[in-house]
Order: sequence, then C-alpha cells, then structure tokens
Amino acid sequence: MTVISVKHVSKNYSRIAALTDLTFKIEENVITGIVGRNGAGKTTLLKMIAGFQKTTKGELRVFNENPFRSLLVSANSIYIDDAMSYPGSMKLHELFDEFNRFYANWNEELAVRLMEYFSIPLNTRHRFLSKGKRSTFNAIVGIAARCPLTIFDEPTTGMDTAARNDFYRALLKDYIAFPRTILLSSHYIDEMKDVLENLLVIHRKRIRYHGSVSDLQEAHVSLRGSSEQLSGATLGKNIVSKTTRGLQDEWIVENDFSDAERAELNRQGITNTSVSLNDAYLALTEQLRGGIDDVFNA
Amino acid sequence: MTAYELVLPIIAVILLFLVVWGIQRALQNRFTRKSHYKVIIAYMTFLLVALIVTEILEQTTSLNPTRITSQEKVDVGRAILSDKSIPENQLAIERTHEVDGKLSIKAEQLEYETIFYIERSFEDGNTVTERVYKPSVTIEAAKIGGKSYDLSQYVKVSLPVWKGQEVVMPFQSKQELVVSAYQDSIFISQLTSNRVRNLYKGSKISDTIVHLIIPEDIELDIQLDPDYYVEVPRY
Amino acid sequence: MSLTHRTMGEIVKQQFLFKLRSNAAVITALFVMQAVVWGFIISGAPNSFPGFSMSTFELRWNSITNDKVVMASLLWALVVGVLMTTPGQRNASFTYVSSPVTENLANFCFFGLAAIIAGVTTVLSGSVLKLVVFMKDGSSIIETGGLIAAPLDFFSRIVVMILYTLLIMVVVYTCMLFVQMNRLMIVPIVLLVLLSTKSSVFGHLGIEGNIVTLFDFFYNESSFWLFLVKTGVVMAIVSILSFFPSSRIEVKQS
Repeated sequence: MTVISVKHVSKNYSRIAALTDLTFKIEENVITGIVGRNGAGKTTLLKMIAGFQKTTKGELRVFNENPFRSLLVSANSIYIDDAMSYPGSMKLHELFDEFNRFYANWNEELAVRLMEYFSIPLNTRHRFLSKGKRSTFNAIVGIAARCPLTIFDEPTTGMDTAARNDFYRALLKDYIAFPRTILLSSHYIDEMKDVLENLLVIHRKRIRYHGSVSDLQEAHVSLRGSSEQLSGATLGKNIVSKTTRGLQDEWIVENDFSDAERAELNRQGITNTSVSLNDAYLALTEQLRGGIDDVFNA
Repeated sequence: MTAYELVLPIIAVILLFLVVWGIQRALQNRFTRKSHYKVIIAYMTFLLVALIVTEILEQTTSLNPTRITSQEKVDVGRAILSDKSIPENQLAIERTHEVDGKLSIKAEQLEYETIFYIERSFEDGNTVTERVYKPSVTIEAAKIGGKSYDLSQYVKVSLPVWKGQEVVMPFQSKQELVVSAYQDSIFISQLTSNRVRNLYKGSKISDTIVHLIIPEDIELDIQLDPDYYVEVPRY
Repeated sequence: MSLTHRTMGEIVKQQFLFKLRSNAAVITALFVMQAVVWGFIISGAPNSFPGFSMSTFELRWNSITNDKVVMASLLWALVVGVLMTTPGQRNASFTYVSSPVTENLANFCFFGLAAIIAGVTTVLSGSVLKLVVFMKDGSSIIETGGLIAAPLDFFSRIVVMILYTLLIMVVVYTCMLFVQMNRLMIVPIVLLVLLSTKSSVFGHLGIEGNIVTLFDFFYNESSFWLFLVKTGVVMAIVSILSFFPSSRIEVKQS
C-alpha cells in the first residue's frame, strides 16, 4: 500500500521556492532516510507530509487524503523535531498521559522503560532538560507513539554518540516488532545507515535520488591508482570526486563500467572498490571532496 | 482633543495587556499543573466561603436604612409650626412631666444642635408634654429625584434632663458614624433593577428638636440663645 | 499497522480537556489579577466623602464597587483571546492529534468554560468586597442585594459577565487569527480600532462614536432574551468567520 504519494508538488515561501516539482511514492512499512544539504527543503517536505503546511502546487496524499486539515493523517502520524511545543506547566509523565489519550497505539510501558534507560526523570518538565535529553525525550515519544506514519526530522540533534546509537537501535527493534512507515532526516547519513532501507536525496529543492540504499552505493565506484592511470581509464566517465591519498589518487566515478571495462581496469592495476554510503551521498549532492580547498587555492 | 489624549488610553490598554501577558507567561512556566489546580481549588473555595459568610452577614448585621426621596423628607420644625403630622419614626421619645408653677429651660452647651420649639397650650394644669425628635441624617442622592439614605435611626440623642422646675439639654457626646457601602458593578447590572450607579453628593443633618407643650399657668424662664428656640404661635 | 479512525467529536473533546490541563495557568492568572485588584480596592483610597462635620456628629461614607474586578476580568479575556491564537498553542495541539477545525472548536469550548469561570468568580469577587465592607469599622450598607436578597439579579450578573467575557474572547480571537493568517491584516484591524477609539473621543464632545454605539447596542439592552440573542448572533457570526483564517494557518512555521 502506498502511504505517501507526491505528484509534482512545489512549495513556495512567499515568492521564494523551497521545493520544486517533487514526485515520488513511499510504500507502507518502509524506513526512508530523507537527506540533503542545509536548506535543501527536507523539513519543508516533512512538514507538508505531516499536514502542518500546505503545498503551493501539485498533489500530496497521505493515507489517500490531503494531509493539510486532515484528522486521519494527524491521528495516524507523529512528527518529531527538535522544536517540539509542550505546555510549559506539564511534567514529562503528564505529557505521556496526553500522548496516551491521543494516540491509539501509544505504549506507555515502553516509553517509561526507555525513559529509565536514558535516565530521564519522569517527574520533571521538558524545559528543564538538557538539549540532548530533550531530543532523547522527543525521540522516545516518536518511538512509543507507534504511529503508522512516524516522522523524525533530525531527531538526534544534541544527543551524544551513545544516545544516537541507542536511539537508532531502539527504533529498529521497535520497528521490527511493530512495522510502520518511518521517515528519518539527518545530516549524518552514516549514523542512520544501519536502519535505512530507502533513501530520498533532496538537492537544490528537487529530488536527486529515491531508491534503495544498496542501489545508491552500487551506482558509484571508487578507483585507486596514479592520476595518469585514472584519467586514462575514466575517459568519458562522470567523475564525482578526486582525492590524493599519499602516492595514489582516489577518484569516485559513476558506475557505468561494462564487464570488459572492468577487466581492463584490473589489468591496469587500478583497484576498484565499492563506495561508502556517505561518499555516494556526498557525490550526489555535489559535495565534492576537496571542494572547499578550491576556495582557498583560487 | 490632543493627540496625546487620544493615544493615552490605547497605550494604557497595551501596557496593561503586556502586564497580564507577563503574569500569564510567568505562571505558565514557573508552576506545575498540580500547583495551578491547588490554587484554583483554594480560590474557588475561598470565594464560596466569602459568599456564604456575606450572605449571612447581609441578612444579620448590615444596615438596612430606609431610602427616601426629597419629597418624602419631613421637615419636623416646619411640621410643628404648621401643625402637620410627623411620622412616628422621627420621634425619639414622648414624655410628660409635672412641673410646679415655673420652668427653666437651659442647655449645657452653647454650640449645640438642639432647637426647642416652645408651644403654650390653652389647657390648665401643670403637665408638660415633651416630644424629642431625632435629627434627620441623610446621605443625599446626587441625582435629582434620586433616593437618599435616611440614617436618622442610627443617631443617639441624649435626652433632656428634668429636675423639678428645670429642664436641661445635656452635653451631647461626640458621635461618629462610619458607613461603608457596596454596590455591584453597573457594567454587569443591565438586567437588574439597579442599572445606574448610586451616586451621593454628601450628607445632611438637621437639628434635634425638642417640642415642649407647656400649659399657660406655668411661668417660663428661657435661658437659651434666641437662635436656638422657637416659640410656636398660638392659634 | 491498521489506521485509527477518530471522529471529530472525540478529538474536540480530547483537545478541549488537553487545553484545560495545559492552560491551567490561564485560570490562575485570572485569579491572581482579581486578587490584586481586591488589594487595590481594599488598600486604595475608597470613593468616600466626609459627611457634615459638626461639633457632635460626624458622618463618613465609603463606597466600594467591583467595577475594577469587572474591568480586570475583561482585560484578561482580551489576553486569553490573543493567547489562544499564538503559534505555541497551535503547535502544542498539533504535537498531539488535531486539525484546524477541531483546534478551533476546542478553543471555543475552552473560551466557554473560561468565560463561565470568569463570570462566576467576578460576581463572587463582589462577596469578597462585601466582606471587606463588613470588616471595616462602622456600619455597612449593601446597596445591591446578594444571592438571598435578589437571586435573579445575582444570576443575571453572572450571565451578563459570562456573555461579555465570551464576546471579547471570540472577537479578539478571530481578529488575531486573521492577523496570524496574514500579517497585513493587522492594518485594517488597527485602523478599525483606532477609528472607533477616535470616535469614542468624539463621543465625549457630544458626537456619537462607533465604539459608543457598539457598546450601547449591548449595554442598553435590558431584556434578558434580547441580550442573549444579540450577543449570541454576534458571537455566532464572528465564530463562523474564524474558520476561514483558522483553516489556512500553517503549523510550525519557522
């Protein structure tokens, strides 16, 4: 079943375009990572899906409804970011009570156990928590709500490394027990890579890539050798990035090598290895390694 | 009408608004939900207790003075002179005294607010009738035709002292009557009978009047300032 | 995972209860204000005039009313009307389950209860002031009878106060929603307010101003049913208008 269907959706803030002409579909019970550079439009997209903001153009449907003004979408989705609005006078356990009243699948027991694990006292108020603890609390809410559509917009902001790892692990475990559609956005693709099935890369207000994580990795290849060797071998290929590592150069190239070409590479002694997810993502979003160096070399 | 006067009320409302906004924000963030509940319950309870107590006090201890219009007000002195009837409630006391031949009328104090009305009756005998009328104290309505409060009944008068052939108006001890009044806001009284604010322009007090009816046979010795007694003409 | 279907009524009820729980401070703020005003009335110079002071008899008269409590509560109503349109409130509702329609309806329910509390406590504040009158030295006169002396008047004051409070909340709320929808809407609203205030200044000069006429439209009504119809119709029209901006305001704009 398709949970989210986006057709030619655009979003403008007054006259400035935030997103232009997006089209994609997200199927049920898939964990999708939404990645992109700062200001790419990730948050805008997630807020539109959650029904908080309306589209300027195009058709957006969540659970077959326009999410803006939809009670069905609101009742079956939860949106977690680092700017959650909670009433200032309510303690954390009172906030849990409210979630329990509003969300049919809310698991109070799980929430309390996670709070204990992350040692966040229930008898305090959100504004008295540290930045990392606030994010952890929000993340716990997102997991325990068990909403058919769970949206995390940069949930790990401010969390320490241990908490990040624990969060993704907890999310994955609860997802396996209670599968649901999850949208995750983060700047750090590496930390999410064990959780993600699909990746939606937004670049320059458009979709750059939507597909499985492994496909993205396979679409690129890393070549190592001297620069002469590499320039010869990659003639006519799309070079994504060039880095010098000691005596050898490492180039990341779009992987459209035929078997014959691959054999030729091996013959020349050029090592070709698969790229990391992060490198593939950076390549897609034109974050060429060494790019910043050019600013200073000019 | 200057621009200053025009803007002033708007600025006042904005300032007050900000104050209330600040109070609300501070309360929201500083206290927990439970503390708010406690305050709400305590406050409501206090109001209910206040309601019950005041309802009881209102029935028991509050003054319930009569309200009169200026037409209803009786000028006792003029009524005596024109031989009109005087309402019972103005009368403090009516007494008779047996006096032999001569009566001296005195006052302990020169500056006093008592006026003697001395009436000679045609009857024989030595029985003097004395009627003491309380001073009329009113809180005057500011509006013409409005109702004034008649507080006469709350004034204490030290009665004349009779001793043989002498009647003396004693020294009147100083009296202070403090009255606090409560009226509900007229802003929310539009459906009630008290639609307008009761405004008062001040209070009025008249003199204490001692009306003596003395038989012809008795000789009078009036030791009073002429301003403080009136001889009632005979008809 | 199967989808949960919640009816609008359910969510409005839940949101209303949530607003009550999360905005208890709104009610305590009212109480704090009322108590502060009592303080001013008790400690401040009473509306008094000395009686005729003569050698033997002196009369002193103090008069107290709960006008200031009424004004404070109405000012509070203004603040509550604005408060419920703030992004913070909206975002908090949408942290849980909400839609613009349920949000609006829940806000009206909240206004209803808040107005009832304000109406009852404002009139009962009169009892506290009566108590002050009784506790002051000297005698006390209660010019407007209380619950036992004039029960109908007592309840009519509560109803009138509730309706005025609700009217202010609903009107201010709707105006502020239009402003939230489009900041430019502040221009016509401020102009309207300035214009009517200006007119009321003219009112002092003998020229009937808009705000005076508007106020008189409600205030001069002495029939309960007509007053109820007047306030009810105005509130109904304004509340219906409020759904227009409400369904266009986006959540979590930042």
